[in-house]
Amino acid sequence: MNEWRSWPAAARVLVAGVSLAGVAVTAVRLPEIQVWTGRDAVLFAGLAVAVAVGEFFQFELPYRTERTVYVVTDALWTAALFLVPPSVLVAALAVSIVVGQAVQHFPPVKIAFNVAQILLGISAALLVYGAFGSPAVTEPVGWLAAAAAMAAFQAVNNLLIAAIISLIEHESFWKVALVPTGILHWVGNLAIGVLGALLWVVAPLGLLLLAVPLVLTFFAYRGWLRSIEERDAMHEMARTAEDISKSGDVTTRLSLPPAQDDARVLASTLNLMLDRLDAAFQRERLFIRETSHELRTPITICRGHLELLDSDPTAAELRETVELVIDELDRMARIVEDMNTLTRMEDPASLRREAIDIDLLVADVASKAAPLVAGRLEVTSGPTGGHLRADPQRLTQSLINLLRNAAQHTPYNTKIELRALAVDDRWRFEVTDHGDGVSPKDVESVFLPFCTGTSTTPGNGLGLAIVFGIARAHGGAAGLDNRPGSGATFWLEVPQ
Amino acid sequence: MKILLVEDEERIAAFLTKGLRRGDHTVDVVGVGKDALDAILDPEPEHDVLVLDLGLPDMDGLEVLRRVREQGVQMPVIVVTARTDRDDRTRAAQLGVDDYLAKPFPIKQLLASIDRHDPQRQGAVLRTSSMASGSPSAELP
Repeated sequence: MNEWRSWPAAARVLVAGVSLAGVAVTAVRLPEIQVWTGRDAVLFAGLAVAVAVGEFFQFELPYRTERTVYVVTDALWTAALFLVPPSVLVAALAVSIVVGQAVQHFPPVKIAFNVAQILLGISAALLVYGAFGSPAVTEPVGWLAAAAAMAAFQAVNNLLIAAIISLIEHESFWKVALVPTGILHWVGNLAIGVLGALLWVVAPLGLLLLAVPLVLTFFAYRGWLRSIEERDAMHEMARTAEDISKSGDVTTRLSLPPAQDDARVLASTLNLMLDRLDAAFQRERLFIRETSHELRTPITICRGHLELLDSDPTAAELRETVELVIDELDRMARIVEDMNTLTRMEDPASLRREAIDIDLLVADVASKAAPLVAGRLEVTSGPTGGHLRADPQRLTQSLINLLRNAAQHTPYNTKIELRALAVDDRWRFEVTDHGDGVSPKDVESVFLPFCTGTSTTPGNGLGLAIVFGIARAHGGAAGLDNRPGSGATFWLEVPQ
Repeated sequence: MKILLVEDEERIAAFLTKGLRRGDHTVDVVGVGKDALDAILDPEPEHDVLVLDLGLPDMDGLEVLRRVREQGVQMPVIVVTARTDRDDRTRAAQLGVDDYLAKPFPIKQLLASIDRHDPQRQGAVLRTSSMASGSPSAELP
C-alpha cells in the first residue's frame, strides 16, 4: 500500500472516507477522556504499551502487492472490552497502533487507514457489547457478548481491508473478503482474550500460565498461514506451468512468491530450468536458421549456373557447369554430414571408446592431414609413451579439423605445429599456427556452429563446432590461446 | 544500365554477371564492402543500380547501405542475400532498399527488379498505359 498515487480514484476515496470516520469515532470519546481518573490513565498507558508490543507479533498473508496482516492484539482488545472503559480502549488503540506502525516505518497513508478501520471496528464491537448490557467476564453471557462484539469488529475489519485490496488489485471483492482465515482469527483471539480477562479478575498470576498456550498458538497460527501462502503459490505456479504447456511459450517465467520459503526456491529452480529450455530452443532455432542460410549458397550457385546454361551449350561449357554443380552438391553433402556429426556429438553414448596409443594417434593424424597442410606440419612433441581411452575416429577427426582450420586461415608459407602433452589428469592436443591470430571480436564465438567470423577463406563454420562437441562428449574441453598478429593455438583436452 | 554487383562468393557473382549481361546491362563486380563504398562514393559515380549481398567479409551489407544513404546517395539498391530474417528485411526497408531478393531466386526476377528502376523502361510503361487507360500514374510501379 505504498503506491498511493497510482491507486484508482475509488480506492483513494475509500481510504480518505475511512480515515475521516476513524477521526470521528475518536472525537466522540473526547468528553469521556476529559473526565478520566488516575486509574483510567494507568489503564490507558498499560493497554497502549501492550498493544504496541503486540503489533510486532504479526502474521502476514501476501496477496499480490498487498498484505493482509493478522495480529494477536485482537485478544487484548477482547479482554479490554470487559476490563477498561470504552474511551480508554479507543484512545489506547489509536495511540498504540499509530506509534507501533510508525516505529515499523509504515507509510502514513497506510497507518491512517489501518488505525481508522480498527477504530471503526472496535466502535462497532463496543456498540454490540453495550447492547448486551455490558456483562462481566465472569458471566457466560459476557462471553457471548464478547463473541458477538468481536464478530462485529472482525466483520468491519475484514470487509474494509477486502474493499481496499479488491479496488487496488481489481479482484472480486468477495474472493478477497472470504479468505478463510477470519473465523480462526476470531475464535482464537476471542478465547485468549476472554480467558485473559477472566484470569485477570479471578487470579491475575494465572496470566503467566496463559502465556504457554499463547506462544504455542502463535507458532501454530504462523505455520498455518504459511501453509496457505505456499498453497496459493503452488496454485499460481501450476497455473503458469499450464499456460506454458498450452502456449509452448518458454519465455514466460513463474512469479516468485514473496515469502522466502520452499515455494520460492521451487519457483526459482523451475525458472532456471525454463531459462535452460529457452536457451536450448533458441540454439535450435539458430542452428536451423544458420543451416538453411548455409545451404542457400550452394543451391543458389547450382540454380543460377543451370538456369543460365545455354540451350545448346558447348561441350566445354557443359563440362564446366557439371563439374561446378557436382562440387556444390559435395559441399552440401559435407554440410549435412557435419551437421549430423555435430548432432550426434551431443550424445556421449555415440562414442566408441578404446585404448589409444597417443604417439600412434599423432602419427596417424599427421599422415592423414598431410594433403591438407601441404608440407607445413611439424609434430613438435617427442614420444610420450602415453595412452588414453577415447573414440579414436572422433579424436582424429577433431585434430584434422583443427589442422584444416589452421591451414585454411594462415599464409601457405607458415608452419603449423601439432603436439600432445599430459596436463594433470588430462591429455592435451595443441595445433599452433603462425598466422595473424583470431580477430578479437571472433574469439568468443569461434567454436559456435556456422561462425566463420570475418574470414574470407573457405569452410562452412562447422569444423571447430565439431571439435568442441567431440571434446565435450569425452568429458573434456576445447579452447583457443590467441596471439593477435602472430598466430593462435587451438587446443583440445580429453581426460586420461 | 550500369550495375555495381557486390558479392563475395565468386561462383554466385559469375552467374549473376552472366545473367545481367544477357539483360543488356554492364556489370562491375566487387567482393568487399570497402571497394563497394569506394565505387559508390566516387565523386563521379558511374553506376545506376547497386545489387548488394549482405554477408560480406569485411562489413555487413546493411552497413554499406547505411553509409551510402548517410552520404545522401539515393541510387536504387537491390539486396540479394541468403538472410531471410524479418529483422534484416525490416532494417533494409528502413535504409530505403528498393527490392529484397532471398537466395536462391530466378535471374529473371533480378532483371525485372532492375528494369523497374530503368528510367527509359519506366517511360515505356508510362506511354503504353497512357494510351491504354489515360491514367498513367496508376500504372507506375
